[in-house]
Amino acid sequence: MTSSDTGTDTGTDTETAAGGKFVIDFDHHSAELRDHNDELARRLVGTGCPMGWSNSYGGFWSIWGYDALYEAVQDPELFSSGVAKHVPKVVYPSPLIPIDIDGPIQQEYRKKVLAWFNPGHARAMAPRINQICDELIDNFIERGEADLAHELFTALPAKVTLEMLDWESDRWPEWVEWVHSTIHDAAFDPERAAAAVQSVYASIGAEIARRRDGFGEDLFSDIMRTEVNGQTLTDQQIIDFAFLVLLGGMDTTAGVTGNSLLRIDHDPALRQQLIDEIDYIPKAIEEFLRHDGPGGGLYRVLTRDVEFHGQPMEKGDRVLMMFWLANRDPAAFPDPEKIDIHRTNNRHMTFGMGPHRCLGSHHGRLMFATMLREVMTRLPDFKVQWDGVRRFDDCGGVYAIRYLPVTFTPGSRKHPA
Amino acid sequence: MKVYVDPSKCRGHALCLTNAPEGFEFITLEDRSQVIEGSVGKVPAEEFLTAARECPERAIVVELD
Repeated sequence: MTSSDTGTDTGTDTETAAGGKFVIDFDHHSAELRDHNDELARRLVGTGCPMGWSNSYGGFWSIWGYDALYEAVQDPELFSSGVAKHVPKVVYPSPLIPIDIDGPIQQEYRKKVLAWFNPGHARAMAPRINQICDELIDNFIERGEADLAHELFTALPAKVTLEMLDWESDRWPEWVEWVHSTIHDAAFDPERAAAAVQSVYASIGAEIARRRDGFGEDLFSDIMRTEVNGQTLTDQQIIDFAFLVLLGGMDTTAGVTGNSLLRIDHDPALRQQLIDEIDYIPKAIEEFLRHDGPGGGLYRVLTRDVEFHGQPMEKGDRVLMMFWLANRDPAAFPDPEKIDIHRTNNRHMTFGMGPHRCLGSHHGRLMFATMLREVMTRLPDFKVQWDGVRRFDDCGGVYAIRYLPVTFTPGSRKHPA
Repeated sequence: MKVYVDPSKCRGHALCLTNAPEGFEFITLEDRSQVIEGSVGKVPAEEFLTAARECPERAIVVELD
């Protein structure tokens, strides 16, 4: 065991009971999680314990048993979302709104943007999402090769997010770079991540200034107009709210889409099934969300001492909520490693549960289903060029892919150039 | 048969709108689903059962006669 404030590269199976805690050799920012995700899942699930304590980063709990995690996420008074929860410490100074907030005020913040984040709004955006998807695929379909990460699944959610905010969507690569750095550099290159955060702050600040002369009919204007308990938001709070929209919108949908395309490339029967049941894709995505979701994990911090599932947890302890691993719990999902697009009782936790359920889930589902449908329709024989596939070095926050080169039989554009 | 959504459990995942589109509607400002009035008896019972089975928060209650 190593006890330090930096990560430890793990990989050996050395769980031991010590001090009453079930201690695991685990670091979610490690290369093990990035490169051997399935093996890691088997190792932790195979312990038969729903949770464990890791000594990395000054010590933190991880919960991965489905029932234990369900219980934890439904008890926000015990498992708080306050900023002290992060492992390691975050690079932005103030709480993101509303993910780092507890209690009734968190629900008030959510209400202010529900006009943008509801199933009907997502449905209304479907034509625009289809159009962006068509244009992106048109740009490479005649070529017979593409980096689907940059040219499709990173671009689409980023453009949609920026359009909702009414920020210049052609600047998406710049925003994505900052978001990626915030998420993926925080553990090992905090200075670089902090610089990205400063760029985000400055650029959101410019958008605030642009609206001082008049609001528009966009998500960002509604964030700026937010009043809770008679108080308008400070500029910093506006930034903290909008920043979360970027973090939630840009990396996550991209992650699950990329992860799923890799699975499909590995599994010819699954590929054929998706081609044959193309109209079923809006439901089939639930199984990819379960098995190949983008969640590294979100955090909570304990508000009091408690014995939880036999483990001695203390006030102030940080907890990694391993939603993705609960999705592999055999007690909740029989034969959890099998990808069965007709699986029933698929109550996966990919969007979290309880009061912090992912606000963008309706848009995320729609964008993912749209991209998967179009890939399986327009380049159904895509072949992943595995030598060029790169994940982000640190996948502890979001399990996503930076480069995903493919080749395929060239096709025709849907719309003239 | 009786079907209802427990408002204290529903967190607005809205999967019921996919699994039983004629049986549930969304209350946007409360971020939750409810059963469409008069739909029980018209919508196939199987759809309601599927919606209940797939609800992540276990918020949908189906009481069979």
